[in-house]
Amino acid sequence: MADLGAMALWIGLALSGYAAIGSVLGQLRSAPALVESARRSVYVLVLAMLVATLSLIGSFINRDFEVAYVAAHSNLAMPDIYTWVAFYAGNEGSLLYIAFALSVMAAIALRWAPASTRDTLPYTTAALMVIQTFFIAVMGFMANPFDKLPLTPPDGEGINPLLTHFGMFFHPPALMAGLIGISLPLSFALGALVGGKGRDEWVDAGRVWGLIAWVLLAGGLLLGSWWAYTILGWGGFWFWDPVENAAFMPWLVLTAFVHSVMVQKRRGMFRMWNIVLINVAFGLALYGMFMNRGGPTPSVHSFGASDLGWVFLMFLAVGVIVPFGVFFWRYGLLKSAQNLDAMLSREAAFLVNNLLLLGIAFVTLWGTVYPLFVKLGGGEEITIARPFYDQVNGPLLLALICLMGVGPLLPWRRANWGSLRRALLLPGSAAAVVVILLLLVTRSPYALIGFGLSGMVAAGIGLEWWRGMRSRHRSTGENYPLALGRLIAANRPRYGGYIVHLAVVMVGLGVLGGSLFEQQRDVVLSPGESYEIANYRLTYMDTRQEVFFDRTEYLATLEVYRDGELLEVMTARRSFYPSFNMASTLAAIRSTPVEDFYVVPSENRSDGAVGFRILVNPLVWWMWAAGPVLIVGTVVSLWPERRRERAAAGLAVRRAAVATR
Amino acid sequence: MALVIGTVLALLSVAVAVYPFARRRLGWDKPGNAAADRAAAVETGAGADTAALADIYAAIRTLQLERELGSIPEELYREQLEDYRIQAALALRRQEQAAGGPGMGPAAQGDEELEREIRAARAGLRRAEADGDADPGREEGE
Repeated sequence: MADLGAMALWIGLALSGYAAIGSVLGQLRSAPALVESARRSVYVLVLAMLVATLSLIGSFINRDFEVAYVAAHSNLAMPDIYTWVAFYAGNEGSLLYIAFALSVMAAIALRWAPASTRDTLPYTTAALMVIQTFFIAVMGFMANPFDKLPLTPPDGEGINPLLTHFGMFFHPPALMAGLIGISLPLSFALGALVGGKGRDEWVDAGRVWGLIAWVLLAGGLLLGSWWAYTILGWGGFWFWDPVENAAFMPWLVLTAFVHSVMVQKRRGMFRMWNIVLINVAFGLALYGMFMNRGGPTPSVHSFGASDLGWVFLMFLAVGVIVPFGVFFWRYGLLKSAQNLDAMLSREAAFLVNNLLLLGIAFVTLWGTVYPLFVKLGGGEEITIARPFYDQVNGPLLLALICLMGVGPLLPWRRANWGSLRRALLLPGSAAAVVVILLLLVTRSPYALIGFGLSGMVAAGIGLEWWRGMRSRHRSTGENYPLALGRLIAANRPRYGGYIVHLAVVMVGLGVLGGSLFEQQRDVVLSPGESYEIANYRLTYMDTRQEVFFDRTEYLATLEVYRDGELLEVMTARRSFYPSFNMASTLAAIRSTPVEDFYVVPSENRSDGAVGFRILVNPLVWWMWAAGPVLIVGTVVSLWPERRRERAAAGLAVRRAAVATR
Repeated sequence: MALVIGTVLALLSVAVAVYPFARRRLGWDKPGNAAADRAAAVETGAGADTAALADIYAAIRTLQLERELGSIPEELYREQLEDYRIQAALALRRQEQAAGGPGMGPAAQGDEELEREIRAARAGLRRAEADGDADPGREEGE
């Protein structure tokens, strides 16, 4: 299997290199056969990468410990279900995963590229394949997942215990696919610019692939937070760890991009700005990969010691210089078709939204790199932790939520204060009601502003839906559910966006509740002892020990009571892995939309007592529930129009145009 | 076994890469393909205009939705609708010219004619506004 995988890798390298060079030469020499040949090579590349991927997975299934990567990331005790996780658990396998994901996305993007990009598609192909060639070459020459050991060990080292979690099936692949997915909008933009098309030709493809990368990153970040919450044993979900930030920053910039690209699509504005945004997002994605693979900051999220850091640092430099070089070269082509009509308009709201998102990304980047600068300057090692981010990013995030409530109520091009006041009346009243109710339980300004603004956004969205549904019901006679369904279907990007905004509000509720109202206690309990927190009573019953081939598990049985009534019998787990000299935990969580009751064992004492961390985390449930909502909203936004709808649209525009003639 | 599959993969890759050249060199290319290439080139231009039309339609649809939702005042609605209609007329004209349709003719003459139409449309709009008339395009345009 490993030999086949290695062959497929080299074939893939040849194909991607050929596709990169052939597509440019073919375009420059007006040789359509060469262009077509290069494009078809991209389709075969998917097959080559699939063979390599399946070969590595096959080696894991066979526990072929002759392969160094398999020996390093699995052992005989590893359940087969974790084969998929082990595949990308290390540097080499994750590079193969990235190359496979990029090949699939590139083939789909090129095969179904919009007609408007056809002239410049060879340059887009070249950009994608240069990136692809880099990843395969790094594998081929420096981090080959199919390298063999001189002697085959009887057993492997095993999978990192922290990865044996359901979230790990999706969190790393989603994040890696999201980060590399940014290559697609970037390549469409680069292709258009190199080909001399500086208008809006690339925007449709850029929007679609930007949104796909965005939702992959968002899903990956949420799943990562859930993983941290359940397995890392500290009760939180976001640590502002430099490597966490490295995935968060491109997501922030991509969020700005998916908003502002709508302005370009609708009004032909922000052409330069969108190129800058996608270049910055790509640069930050490469920075994230650098941090993960031999970057200067060790993290629970990184691939440990690696000598690939300098390669990724060089690629980061090239990945920033080349796109910005092309941008400055073609600067003259990027003049906007329209100007901003008024500061009180949807376009202006998008612009402010972009500035806020970039502000948060910059603050996060500064917090991430400042300790490195201090260290490089010979200073003491310092860490920038949560208080800094809370103080600086907190107000910016609140301003962003506020804008999320106001922006969608503004029309395109121009609004007036009177119509905005009317539109804000009900959402503003909802915010006031939330604040008044909250004043009964808290005086925290963050809580009052945060929940108030969340209430305003949710009410604004609800009102938009109600008004649209009612209007359609009145004009067509459709019943309310049908009217709502057809309203959404007829305005997918808008209503998909609203669904995504609702998901963001849900995440906001979880973050605010978990951060501002969390109650935490660290206690040591002997069997039969109880502890009271909030209105819960926790009774520790006993711990049973189970010995496995690779670990010893300590399973604590806990009874949870509220108002004297038994709510649930829970089991919290703490495992010790001798070969890794590492303990891992799995929290017992009773999760409801109101609050989470969270218990995690921190130490097992010889006298049978156990140290527990107990938390009551209000509203955290909403964060995890937001994930599916986010995906549904993105799918609605991206769902293409049917042929019949396009024909109807064409007819409607003709009629509108004829009305003008 | 690995060698056999790897060799097949390599041969397949070479075959796929060589196929476009062979098709042209060995005359496998159907006679209509050159015409199809030209048609595709025309389609690229027409496709861009079709996309522009779709975007304008989406903009008009959003504008109407915003009006129904009460988030845009009537005078701004009318002004913007007229703008979009003019954009649609321009895009439609370009599309017709690309397809060799009724709008085809000497470019300068076409542009002049279009300019006349736009001027007439604007004058009509101003008259309608001055008369306090209902939206002139609404009955026939929607």
